[in-house]
Amino acid sequence: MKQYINAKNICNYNQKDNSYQLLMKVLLIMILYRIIKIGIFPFLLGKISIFESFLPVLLILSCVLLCYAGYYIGENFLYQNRYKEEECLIDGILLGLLLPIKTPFWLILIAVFLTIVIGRYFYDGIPIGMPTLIGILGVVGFSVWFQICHIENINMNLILLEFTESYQQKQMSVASIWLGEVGEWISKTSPILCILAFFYLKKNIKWRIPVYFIGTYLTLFIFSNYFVSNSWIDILKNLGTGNLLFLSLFCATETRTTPVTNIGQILFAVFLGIFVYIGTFFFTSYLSMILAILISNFLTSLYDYFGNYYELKYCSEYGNL
Amino acid sequence: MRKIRLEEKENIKCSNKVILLDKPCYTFFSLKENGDFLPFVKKGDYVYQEEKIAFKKGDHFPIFSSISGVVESVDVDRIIIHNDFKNRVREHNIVEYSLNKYTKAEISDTLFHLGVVNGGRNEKEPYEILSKAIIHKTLIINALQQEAYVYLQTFLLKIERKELLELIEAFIEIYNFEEVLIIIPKNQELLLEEWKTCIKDTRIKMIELEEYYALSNTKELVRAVKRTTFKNDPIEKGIIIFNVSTMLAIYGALKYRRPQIKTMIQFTGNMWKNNCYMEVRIGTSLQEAMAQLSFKRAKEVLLLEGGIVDGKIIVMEDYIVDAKTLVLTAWKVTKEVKQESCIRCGKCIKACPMNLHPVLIMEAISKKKNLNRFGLERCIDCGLCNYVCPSNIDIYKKLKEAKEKSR
Repeated sequence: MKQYINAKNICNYNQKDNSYQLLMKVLLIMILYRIIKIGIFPFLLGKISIFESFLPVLLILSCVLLCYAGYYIGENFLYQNRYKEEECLIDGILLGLLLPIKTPFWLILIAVFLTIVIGRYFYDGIPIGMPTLIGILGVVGFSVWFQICHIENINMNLILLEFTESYQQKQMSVASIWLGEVGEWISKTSPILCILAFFYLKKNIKWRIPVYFIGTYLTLFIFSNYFVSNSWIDILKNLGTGNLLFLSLFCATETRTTPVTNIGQILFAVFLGIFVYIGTFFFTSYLSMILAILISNFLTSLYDYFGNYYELKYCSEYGNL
Repeated sequence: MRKIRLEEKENIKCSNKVILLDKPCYTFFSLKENGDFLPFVKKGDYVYQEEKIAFKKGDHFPIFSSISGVVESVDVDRIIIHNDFKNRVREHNIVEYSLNKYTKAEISDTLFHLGVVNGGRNEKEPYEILSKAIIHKTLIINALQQEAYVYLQTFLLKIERKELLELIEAFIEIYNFEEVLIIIPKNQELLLEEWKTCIKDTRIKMIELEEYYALSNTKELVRAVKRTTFKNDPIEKGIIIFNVSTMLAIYGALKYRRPQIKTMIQFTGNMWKNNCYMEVRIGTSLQEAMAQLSFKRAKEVLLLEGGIVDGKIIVMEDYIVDAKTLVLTAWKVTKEVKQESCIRCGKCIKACPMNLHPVLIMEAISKKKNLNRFGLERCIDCGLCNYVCPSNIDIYKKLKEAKEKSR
């Protein structure tokens, strides 16, 4: 039921928007978790050198600083007031969390360029797709190109492996997948943290998208595996990997590239679930999720068109009186 | 662009004190504000209190002077009268007329010839409403004021109960209304009790409604109260709506057959030293009225005619209190806010009581797309989309632009 604004509750509708601040708080926890998981913890176990333990921090810092530099150049030399400073910081943090640890600096530059210039400033300032994922796709594209051209580069091979190797090949347990303990690539953060983050951020994000996406994806997965195996362990493993939860929470809910109408958001999420599910037959769930989000972003206007049409038609002309 | 942000900590109350501003040095009468008026007097003329000084082009709807004095100047857009502080009137005897003895035609005529206006902007005048309505089924007296910290209508309902009841009973007899609904906000138990003890006619009913911004629109109000709707005007369904201020103005005109020379307004906001009600002579400048309230002029003040959400920004030096003024708000604003680009957060959609999609309408305007599919005719100009926008976009202005383009 829609809540009507009156003199008593209007204070709750303050123009001051703290959704970006809340998002950054949550991402900070994710960053700390990642640093501990693949930096400090392995260093303490003697598995990596001290330099390698700082790599997660260096990666995130460089992404954030480069994004900020791009934002500064964009605001002063391209289009002013095109997007907010907080959005640029979040782009940097997400890039830092999603890019593989061993990404060379020149590739980080390309990723930032694609995120800021193509993702944010291109096409009249309306992003054509979630900017961070455009940057990530660029990184994947480069590593594929290296493969195709038979250019030998260990880092590029590792990067490509991160996007193309599935959890089944690694034989992970449910616990390790959900805690995000083992293997840097398997999840950028713990899926449990993602679920907690969802409840914390629920009022400040387009919550229908992750909910309906997970619902659709799980429904399709359960239905298609019903005759093969009914194991809830498979379901949990599938859900916990490929950064499905992380991407659905932080990337699929990006405000500028997602529908604004409720029905539009539901359509977006359902089709996202379908695209991801189909994509898993050709790629890993991580890569298919990235591609699916970008394809769905492209169709945002269409979802909003239907959302606008049906909401005007079926919602009462006089609100909910 | 300046914006107001309401904080929960604000505890703005209005004292029940009524300050009288009876002796303005000058009064100003606009000839363009509420229509195209022609002056009836010229510079240097002496005018009596309640004397006609202008009339509207076409139907000759009059404006009366609220003071006696000499006409200081007559411009294209205003008449200025210098007060002689003698309150001279042509007719000294105040006669009380029985309201029950009026006929429908006499009521409309009297209201017209005495220049009685509807309290609040963009409303038809009472004589027009009463004369155009073919059937008179329901009279709605609206004492709701959706805006935060605005209590004028309920205050008038408290202090002028006897007068209002007299008028309501006379209207029931003359127009044969099937029912009279007095709409009051919820949680006004004392007011409800006071009125219920005085009401004898079963056709007069008190209705409590939760005040929310959408109810400032007539269609929403009729829908909430009568569960019905209309195409253009509530008089199509025999529904007549007046607020309490207008009812009192009608009472004064019919009871004493004298034009309205004073009006009750509420000063509210977090910048007045004393929030209160003020009985002001029509035509008083806001500057003079504010001097009475010990108002300290500051750069960071936003002055509004109306409430915080849908109020119109006014300039103290230019604003004149007239019969249509109800509420004046003064609010402290910290600094100019920068307008940013739309982030498509959807807050305007959540806030819209009519389930419209302002963000999509704005995009359609910028991309020059067809605006017919957005239901623009439903927009009730409540201004809530403007209030909630985190990017400080003037959405209301864009919606207005969209409405004009779609016509």
